[in-house]
Amino acid sequence: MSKILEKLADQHEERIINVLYKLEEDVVKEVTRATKGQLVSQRLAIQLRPAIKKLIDESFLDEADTIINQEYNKIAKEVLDRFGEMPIPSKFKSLTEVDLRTINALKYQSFSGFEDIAERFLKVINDEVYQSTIAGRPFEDMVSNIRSHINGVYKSSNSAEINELVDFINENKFDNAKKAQVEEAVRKLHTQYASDRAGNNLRRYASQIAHDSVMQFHGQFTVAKAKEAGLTHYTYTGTLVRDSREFCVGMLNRTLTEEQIREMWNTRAWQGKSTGDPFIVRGGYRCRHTWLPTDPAWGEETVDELPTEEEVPPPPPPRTTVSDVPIAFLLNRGSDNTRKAFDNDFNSQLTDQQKIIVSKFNKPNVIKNSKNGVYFAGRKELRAELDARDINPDGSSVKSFVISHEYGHHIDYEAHNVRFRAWSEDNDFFKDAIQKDKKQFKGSFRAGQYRIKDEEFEELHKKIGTYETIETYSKYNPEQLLTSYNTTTLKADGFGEVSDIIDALALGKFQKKYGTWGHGVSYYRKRGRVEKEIFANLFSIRNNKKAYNVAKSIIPNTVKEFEKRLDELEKQ
Amino acid sequence: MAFSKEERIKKLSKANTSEKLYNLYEEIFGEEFPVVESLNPNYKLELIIDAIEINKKVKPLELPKGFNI
Repeated sequence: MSKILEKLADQHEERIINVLYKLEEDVVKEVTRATKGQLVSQRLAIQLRPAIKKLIDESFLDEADTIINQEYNKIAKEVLDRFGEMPIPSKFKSLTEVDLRTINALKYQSFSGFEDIAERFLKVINDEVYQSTIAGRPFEDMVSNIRSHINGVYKSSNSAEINELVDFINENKFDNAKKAQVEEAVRKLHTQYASDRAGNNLRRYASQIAHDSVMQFHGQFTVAKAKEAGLTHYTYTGTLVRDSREFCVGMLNRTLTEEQIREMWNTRAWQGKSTGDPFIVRGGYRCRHTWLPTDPAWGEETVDELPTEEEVPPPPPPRTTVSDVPIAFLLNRGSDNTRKAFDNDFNSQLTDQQKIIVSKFNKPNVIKNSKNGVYFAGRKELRAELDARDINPDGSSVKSFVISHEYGHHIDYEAHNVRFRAWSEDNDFFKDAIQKDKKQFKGSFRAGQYRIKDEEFEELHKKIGTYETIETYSKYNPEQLLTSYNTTTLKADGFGEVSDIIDALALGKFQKKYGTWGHGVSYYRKRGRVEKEIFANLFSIRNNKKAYNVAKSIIPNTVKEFEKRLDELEKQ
Repeated sequence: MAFSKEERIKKLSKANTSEKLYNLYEEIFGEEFPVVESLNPNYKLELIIDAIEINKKVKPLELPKGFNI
């Protein structure tokens, strides 16, 4: 997505969010005025409907109308500017009568999306007043519910801390430099204060529509212009963010024909896919990517093969039939919400088979929700961070499966029954498989160890990440640039764990050479650590198909032995 | 051999890869970068740069038996 488009999508979302605060206050004021704080008359509840509708029309819909009428012309201009840069006849680069009609039709269509949700939430708010009257609900409870229907967890509150969090999120939501703090504030808001109120509300839908309508308007107008110019190839463009869909990750920068795109759309499914036209809904709700027209004859792009099924993620797996395994009761501290979130995070990292295994063996003695992951085999203490992420140099991040990594160590020791020894460091088949996998790569023996050649690691690095340059300034003199160096940006969730597996094969030199995730050279000075870390990493990514498949392509024999071990443990 | 602050900063400015930074740490402190409680490459490289700037080596993590990161 272009910077302009990205900015417009964010700005529109922000404007809609701001107007919803005014709406929240106005609706509460109107309900208080009409009822005088007493819910006694059902007739009054019905009479309130036109007044609430007027408030919604005058704030929310007026703002949507202003945005669409004033701002969407900027999107059309952005599309035309892009066409202006293409080597196509100039008649396709300007705004035509047909274009104007198309733009107006698309604007009308966008506005109707806002009208639909306005109508829907008018009913929700009105039902709240009516039902509260019938049920004799306290007035304050009803007001709180109305606020929730409009702004969800971001509603105004009597708690200063909640308001501070909400203000912080709203003020910094679109500031990339504060992404991590905003995510933490959102997490806190949901888990500590309002986990039961994270569901449907006007803000959620309105901000999504504000964002998606910009993208969809752009998509529709772009395709209309491309067809007019006779362009039939498209490149999937945009940037990846922390929670980019696997579909978007797999498709990024690919050039396909319209026919290929439609074929893929009709035959494939992925998590988060929306219904609609592939050029309009793209990856799904809130997708930040666009199909931009191109022509391979221009010499900039070549037509790619359709991604294989393995590259494009499969449909979501069927709902699990094995119950989640609770471990968060072992946390040394933490609120109910934190414990719930810890259990959810842990179980989301496990396959059904792993859940069965976890439930069969003794659990750790104590678990700590701690910044760094550690497992102490002697005292059976597990430390891991809830919702851990590997932060890339550009501030984006990918999911890191730390809880299941450390639990993998626990299972490795616990199921082995030899004090201070793990199965992986003692099992000859597992150890041999690692050596066999290493020897698939070019290398030579040095000091009794098979060392894989650097050129092979270069290729492996391409599988998991890209380079980013970091500049480091002195902490003591912030204006002094000390050095700048290349480090790794991970491509997808669980790739930090895959990087760590490669680092184990390289005895820590992969991290040293490529500035990527790993335990490092000094850690692997001790025998048994390569095997234990590979086991724990495979255990942690077993439920992430993409990361696991990459690992499998690197160490197929080891994965085979690992799976045999899981089968054994399941049957024990 | 002890390096002056000027020499360390000059060497730092030339260390433009992760590997060169790890090697520089070894050159300045005469020992390899120790085990720390993180797998994050950028955290480790920041520790290295900071250590070289202030000429104070990174404190190694105590590793009791059966300790796994």
